[in-house]
Amino acid sequence: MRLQRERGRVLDDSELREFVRDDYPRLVNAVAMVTGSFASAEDAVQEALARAWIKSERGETIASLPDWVAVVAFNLSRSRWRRVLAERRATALLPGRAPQMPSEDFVDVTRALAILPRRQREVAVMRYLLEMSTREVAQATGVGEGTVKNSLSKARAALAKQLDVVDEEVADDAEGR
Amino acid sequence: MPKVDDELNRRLRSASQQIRTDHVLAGIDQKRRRGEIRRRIGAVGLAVVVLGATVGGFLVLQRAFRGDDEFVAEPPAIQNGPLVVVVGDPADRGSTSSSYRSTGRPPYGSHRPGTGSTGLRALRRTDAP
Repeated sequence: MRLQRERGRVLDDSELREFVRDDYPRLVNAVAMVTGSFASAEDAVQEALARAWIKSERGETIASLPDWVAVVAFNLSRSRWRRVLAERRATALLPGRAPQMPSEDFVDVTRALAILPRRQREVAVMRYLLEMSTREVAQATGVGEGTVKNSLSKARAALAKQLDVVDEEVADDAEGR
Repeated sequence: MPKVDDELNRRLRSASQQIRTDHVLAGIDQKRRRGEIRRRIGAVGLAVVVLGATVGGFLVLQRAFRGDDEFVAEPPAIQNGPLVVVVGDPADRGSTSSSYRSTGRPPYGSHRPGTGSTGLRALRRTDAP
């Protein structure tokens, strides 16, 4: 990801605002595509940001804030209990706020992702939506690059099939035969 | 990057929703404060648990090992005989050794039973038990 800053100090207000403006929507979408719920995605990303803030207040270093927040948010979103609570809170707020209605494209992509195992879903979203390199995904998820490539390859094939994305190289080879 | 990767990248990005960010900073601040409070409560709770376990353990051990339980010995089955003291070398069969038996009475004067010295009466060797 683009933001690569060494931090060993307290996150200031302007940095936080910049992060919320530039990276927050993308991270919420990424987590929502994995979990299928915007309420729990927002809750997880906000919680991850709050933890990053507390961590920076203690003087601990976060090499890349978006990567760190993405991984923590993905981990937090695994908790079913947390998801249920977040959705309940969001429902309670509904009278004052317009509900987040997913677009048709979002529903299609989420449905295609839903058939993948959790690890492949996360890797695919990190790679295609958060635009992280294979190495960054490996570092963020704590697995080897080979494992990430393997997961990505399987996810890619399954998503291409589900979303009717034609792999032109394969199609050309087939026509040439 | 292969075409399919480009296409998947495009599809996922176009599927992204507009996210409102006006309430986010307040939400983060609230979660941060809650996290701080939770951590403080956790620290105090841990201290209370450790202290309670220490005091509780001490009390339990003190109760288990305290020495104020009265031990009542059973009375002897037979009455003790009089105390016999051999003065001198018992191996020496000569006339120098003597045996004494407790009389239970003070040697002189009178005092309450169980206090003061007790008189001894000399026995001949043949009287010794």
